[in-house]
Amino acid sequence: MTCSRRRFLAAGASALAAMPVSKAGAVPAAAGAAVDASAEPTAPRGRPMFRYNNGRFRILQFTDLHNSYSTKKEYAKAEKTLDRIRLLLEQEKPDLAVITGDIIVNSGGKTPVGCELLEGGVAEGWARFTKPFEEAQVPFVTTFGNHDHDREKSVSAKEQLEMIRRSPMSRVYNADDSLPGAGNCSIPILGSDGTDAVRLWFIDSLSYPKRRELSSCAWIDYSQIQWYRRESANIETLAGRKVPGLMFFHIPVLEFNQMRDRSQTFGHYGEDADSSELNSGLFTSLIERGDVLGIFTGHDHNNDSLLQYKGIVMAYGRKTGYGGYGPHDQGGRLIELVEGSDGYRTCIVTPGRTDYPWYWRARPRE
Amino acid sequence: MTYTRRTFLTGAALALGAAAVGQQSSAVGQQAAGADKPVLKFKNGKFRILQMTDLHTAYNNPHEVAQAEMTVHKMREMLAKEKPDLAVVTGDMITSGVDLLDGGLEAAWENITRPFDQTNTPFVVTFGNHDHERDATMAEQLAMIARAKMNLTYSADPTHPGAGTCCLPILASDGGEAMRLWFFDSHSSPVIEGMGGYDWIRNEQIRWYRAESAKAEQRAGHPVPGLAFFHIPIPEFWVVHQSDAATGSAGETPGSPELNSGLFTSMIERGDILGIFVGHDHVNDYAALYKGIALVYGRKTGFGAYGDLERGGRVIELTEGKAGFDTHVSTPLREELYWSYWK
Repeated sequence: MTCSRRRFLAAGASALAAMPVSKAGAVPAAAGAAVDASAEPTAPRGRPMFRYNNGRFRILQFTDLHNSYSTKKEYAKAEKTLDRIRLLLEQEKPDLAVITGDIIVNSGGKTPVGCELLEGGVAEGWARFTKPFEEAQVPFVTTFGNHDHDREKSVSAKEQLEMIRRSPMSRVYNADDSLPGAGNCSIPILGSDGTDAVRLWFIDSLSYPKRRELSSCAWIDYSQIQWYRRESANIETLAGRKVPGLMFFHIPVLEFNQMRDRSQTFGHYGEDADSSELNSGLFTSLIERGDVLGIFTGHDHNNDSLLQYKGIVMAYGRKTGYGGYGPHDQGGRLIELVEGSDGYRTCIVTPGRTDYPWYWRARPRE
Repeated sequence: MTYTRRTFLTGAALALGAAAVGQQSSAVGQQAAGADKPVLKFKNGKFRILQMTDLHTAYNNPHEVAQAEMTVHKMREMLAKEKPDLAVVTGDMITSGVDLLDGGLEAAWENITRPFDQTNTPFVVTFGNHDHERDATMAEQLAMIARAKMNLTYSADPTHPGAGTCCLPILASDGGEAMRLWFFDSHSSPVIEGMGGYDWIRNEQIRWYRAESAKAEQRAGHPVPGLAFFHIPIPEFWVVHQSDAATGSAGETPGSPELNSGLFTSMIERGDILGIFVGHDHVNDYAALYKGIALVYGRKTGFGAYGDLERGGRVIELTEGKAGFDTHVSTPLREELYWSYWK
């Protein structure tokens, strides 16, 4: 097998992933170390890590694929969606892809499973989803959307997470099994000195509350918020400083409603944020911890807008999938981090062009 | 001990001799139990709470001193009228000018706690934003308040920001815990710049509430119905403010923090809190129900600062064995705005 440059990096990343979480100053094996990628048939079991790539780290956020294999029409749309992903991966060549939920849905079938036309059922649905990333050798992390939870009765979120983790390009894991949902985790991006430069946070924003009369959709749970606070404090202790972070999840928090103020909002805010009616305080915890610079969500297909609120960037991705309602310029959101700089840039990308002006954001509060 | 201007309110300052007995340790988790501490208990199946709020006593000039006197007089009138089993003062008790008062801050607190000691009314205070705006720490001020023999306020966890975040059981006639009352310090300005006008109840306080609530549930075998008291309304008040479902005056929009720290959601999840009682917005005195929890303003008691509602308080009446309450606004001249919530 020829080792292309991308596979080389990916192989290095696989080797790194087997190591325990780094302490400040720990220097992992050189990124160029020759490791045979085929020796790791499944996603690494240890804690994954990323590294700045020549001083840059590019994240391509996909969201709301709405892949469904319940009807032939949906099946065709799903294939088209995966092709679009292939196109964008080739165009942007990101260091990481993040997919913020509603990946496999049920749009036409009789049961919530959504993969009735696939012989391999849900497992095959996920395998098809991971294929473009494997082909392009781009590591990816998923966060579950409400629709991904729709099939809880036949296959749980945790089981689906394991299906996703079969892919050698998957970097998602369960940081804490006691948390609701699955895939709540954080992954560092290491700087060239081997220390934590940025922390990426991934949260399962769940689906519906047990008592439906309380809210049309669920809120991120108290235990998940406490987990973030503890981890954030641990990371700060280990690094000796606050480590800037970016957070990804599917359903926006209530604070996204601030985008109604169009004067400060970039991009399309075509529908009101469909967040939980109840605020469980995640945003306030982000403010208090002072490390997370940006929140990136999906869920509201007509939105790809960005607003900086109380110092934190809140941004929607651009809908990627052909399934489900929404605009017809499917694409993604690119987030580019530059090592040592005072911020990051982000814009919407579609095949052939990028849409909106780059946006800078300062580093975390001291 | 010389009594000078301190005695301007009544001549009965001698009653303060007993104040030295009051001891409120801030030991973690300690209830206000002790040989001399009153115990809250249903009597003949009833328990009455009088909520007073926003006293705004100040001493910068004779006009303010007169207002402070009138305020204390109003408190006495309300205590005489309602004879509550417990009085709760939800904040903004002292604003400024204590340097001009003989005996300073201690005397200012004594002016407020004296009516309770004199009527043998157990009381709890929750600090308002104005109570934070002075050099003395909240713990120091709580210690001054704790000299009063009828004080039940304490700090459940001394590491909490502010002071006076605590809870108290109301016992059933058979001695078990029938209900629980929760008190929070809602602080004043945000400690982080640029976060709006008012601070929010913090994660540590919410964590404490959830843990204590779970313990109470475990002991009782079911969620223990409770009421919560604090000064600054939470953002959820905005939802009911804009609806027609509120009974009472809504003269100003809620002066809540811009950031929501999730206290209300935690209370929904714990399933024990029946109602939240606040102050802070002097021209509001309404009650409304939101997702099964009552959001209620007290009636301004003190003459200092703005607001044209007739000064008084809010009466909350509990019935043993039932989860809920009857409430109304009460002044020395009238009762109005009757409202109930029974599960």
